[in-house]
Amino acid sequence: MICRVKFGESMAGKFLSHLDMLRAWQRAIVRSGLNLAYSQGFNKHPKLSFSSALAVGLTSSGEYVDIELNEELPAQEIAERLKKHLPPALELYALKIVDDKTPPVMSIIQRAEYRVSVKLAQSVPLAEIEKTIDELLASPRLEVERRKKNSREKKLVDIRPGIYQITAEYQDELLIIKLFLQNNSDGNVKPDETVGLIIKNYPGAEISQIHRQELYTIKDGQLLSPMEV
Amino acid sequence: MIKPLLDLKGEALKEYVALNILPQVEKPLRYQGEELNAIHKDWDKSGLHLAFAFPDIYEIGMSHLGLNILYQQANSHPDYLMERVFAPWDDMEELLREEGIPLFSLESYRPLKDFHGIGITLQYEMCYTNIINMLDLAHIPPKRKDRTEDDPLIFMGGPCAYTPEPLADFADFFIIGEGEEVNMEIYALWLENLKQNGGKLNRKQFLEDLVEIEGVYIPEFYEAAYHEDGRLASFEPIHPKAPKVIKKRMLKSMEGAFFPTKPIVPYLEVVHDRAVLEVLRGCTRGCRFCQAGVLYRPVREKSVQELVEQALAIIKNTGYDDVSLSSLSTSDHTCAYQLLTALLEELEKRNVSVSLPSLRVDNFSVNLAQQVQKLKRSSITFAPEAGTQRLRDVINKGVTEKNLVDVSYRIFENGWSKMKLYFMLGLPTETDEDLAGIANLGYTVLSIGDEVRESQKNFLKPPQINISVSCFVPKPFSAFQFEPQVPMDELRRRQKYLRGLIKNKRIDFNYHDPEVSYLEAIFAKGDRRLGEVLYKAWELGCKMDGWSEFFDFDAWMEAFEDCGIDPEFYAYRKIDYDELLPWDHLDCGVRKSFLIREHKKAMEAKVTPDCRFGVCSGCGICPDREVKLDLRGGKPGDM
Ligand code: SF4
Repeated sequence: MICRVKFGESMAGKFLSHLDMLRAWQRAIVRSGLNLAYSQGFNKHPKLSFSSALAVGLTSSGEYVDIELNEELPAQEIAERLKKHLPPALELYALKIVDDKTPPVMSIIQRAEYRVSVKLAQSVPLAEIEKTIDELLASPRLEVERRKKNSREKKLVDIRPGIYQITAEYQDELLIIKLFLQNNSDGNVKPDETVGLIIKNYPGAEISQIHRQELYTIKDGQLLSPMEV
Repeated sequence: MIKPLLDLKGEALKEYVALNILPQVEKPLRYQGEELNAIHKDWDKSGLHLAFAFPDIYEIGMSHLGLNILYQQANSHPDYLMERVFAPWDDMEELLREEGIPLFSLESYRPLKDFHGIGITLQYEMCYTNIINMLDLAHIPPKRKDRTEDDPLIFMGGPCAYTPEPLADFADFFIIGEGEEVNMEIYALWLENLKQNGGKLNRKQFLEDLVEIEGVYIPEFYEAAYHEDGRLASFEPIHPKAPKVIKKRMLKSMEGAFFPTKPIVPYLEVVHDRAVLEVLRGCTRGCRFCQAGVLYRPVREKSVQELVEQALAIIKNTGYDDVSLSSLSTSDHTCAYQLLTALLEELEKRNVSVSLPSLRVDNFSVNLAQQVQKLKRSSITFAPEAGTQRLRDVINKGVTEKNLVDVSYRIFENGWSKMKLYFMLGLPTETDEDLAGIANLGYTVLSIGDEVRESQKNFLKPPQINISVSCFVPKPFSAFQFEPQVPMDELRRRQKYLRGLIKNKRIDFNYHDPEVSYLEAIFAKGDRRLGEVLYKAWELGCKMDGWSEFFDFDAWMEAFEDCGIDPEFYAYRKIDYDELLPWDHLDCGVRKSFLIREHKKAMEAKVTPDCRFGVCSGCGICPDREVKLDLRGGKPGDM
């Protein structure tokens, strides 16, 4: 039986690497006494499949994992047991049982929504920031520098096609930038590099926190939560 | 420029650190806390506030079983609160100093200065500078004489507390021996004193009461005098209540001893990322280089039933997928086979594996290893320690070449392809012939591997041998305490000589520079005068000396030079049997006369059998302390 779980990583969890999180989940499942399925063979590993890895330093309220169990239990009972046994860094929001043939959650994610908090050195009118965002979205190419895999060399990457929406608002002194970005097997657009393009116009501005709000799949042109498919 | 002290604590400090400091360090989880099973107690409702300080980084400290025992035990009492702190890595240290944040505990993020006491565990000599550095980072004067009544008391325990003199200037008191009972007695006395004095410790009174607890050593109650040639002339109590000799504390039996079945589960991957089950304490094999084998006598085993119950409880409370059976020599448990069978039966259905960290060189141990490593046959480790039968008899390591040959056949026939062999270099009476013996053993084992591979024709990989050679450090409370360490130049020559004898690509040869071992030898045998050197070395920038990226030998030598102290006196001197030693005022239960007898037998290459087989070798602990070997299954298994 496969359960799909929506969970979050709180402030206590923001420094967990993907591997730390995987271990924490595996141990929580063992503690809760659920009969976790393992792959057979030389190196046994638990049958857990996560949505896209969250970078270290980010908090999130939109993470997903598919857990395969060797037993049939009602969703509510599983959820309660897991809730009781998750460590302080992880929080379970919802759980549902999915069909065994459902494609793994990792394969269906298309978009990620982020909330990035920015501290400005001096206040800038919202209209001016919105103008900067509009100009940015109007450019045909937006290049950022990335390191090539397993090498020191840098390369330029055009992230414009992967940016779907950017909006801004103030919450007290903090500027909150909301982004919808590409997140799938073709590549991810990173929230810090995107916001970097905006705030480089404002000397002294810096990102204070990045939060992943949600992950989406797309069905018939509509954004959908992985819990809804 | 150093900013003024940042006066934040608790939640406010935690938030500040999470936002401003942790994103800048390499491994933030070292400093975060909030792990599963960490204990967050109400500060105001607990009368006694203690910090457990581990003078190395988080990943090492959290792998240490003793931490979990003492932490969980103290916190199990409603009046005591114990929180953890580890030595910060230098990226964190730099930021703490820059921002003026005093070192804080992981649970409540309170500065260490707020605690009544800071308990420091002494696991190895090379962490001593970290102790000074941590106290300094906590804005607590490292030297006792510079502290005031407002500072916490600094107390130390662990194996190196048996040789405490180099740290005598820094500690208020030491705890000698096993902590389970004595610690709780100390805390009770402490709390009582606090209660009677309106929450503020009356230190003088406390120490005067404390000195009556067996196992407590209060260095300021003693005075040392030295001969002109540097040897200790006298070491006498200068307080009327202070005993001349401090006896170690120990548990008479492990039955029902406090054991943490709800250990903290780190988020970060630590060195031993698994459940640890202590299956027995002590070892009477009598290896003459081994200090632990003397300190933890006699052998006390836990029962199979208690062990299985504890293992299941730990798994239930932690979710670990591996249980490590820990002790000085796990396959020596008289019920080792039964234990393993019972554990595997319960654990395998929960997908939990069992690991055995130390294995004897015999068939029985290979049987056990075979049981636990049903699938993953990666590599297996043995420690013959010396290359020839003569030298193995000198050190009383009961391993014969035949043992090793037999075991090698079994190992390769059963699917392992990699064998690691540990040896020591610079053992007393060692000659080049003994070194050649190490190389020969390597070749013998390799050819057995090839022979088996040839005959079975089903091997995945050609056999590989890994030879690891460490430099011998003569340790107090071992029969070799009287021996000098082999000088560094000679150790290097021997390493080079041995290196030259190992020419096969499938025999890997590892060794370390002897500089660290030299310092270990000095501080293991050190007296009070070394406190100055430690402090000086720290001032010169020494810290994290166990880490090669930090270890600065030249700075250490400069510190000795500055203090006018000759390090060779400590490491390279042959010690007479009747010399007064800087650890003679501590009684580990084993008589010095036994160590002398063992040393004499070593020089004649005569072995002393393990007393578990019937003949008491007269170390003295059983009659003197009214204890006995506590074996659960009669005699040890097949030898
Ligand atoms: S007194 Fe005898 S039986 Fe007891 S530990 Fe020592 S040698 Fe063994």
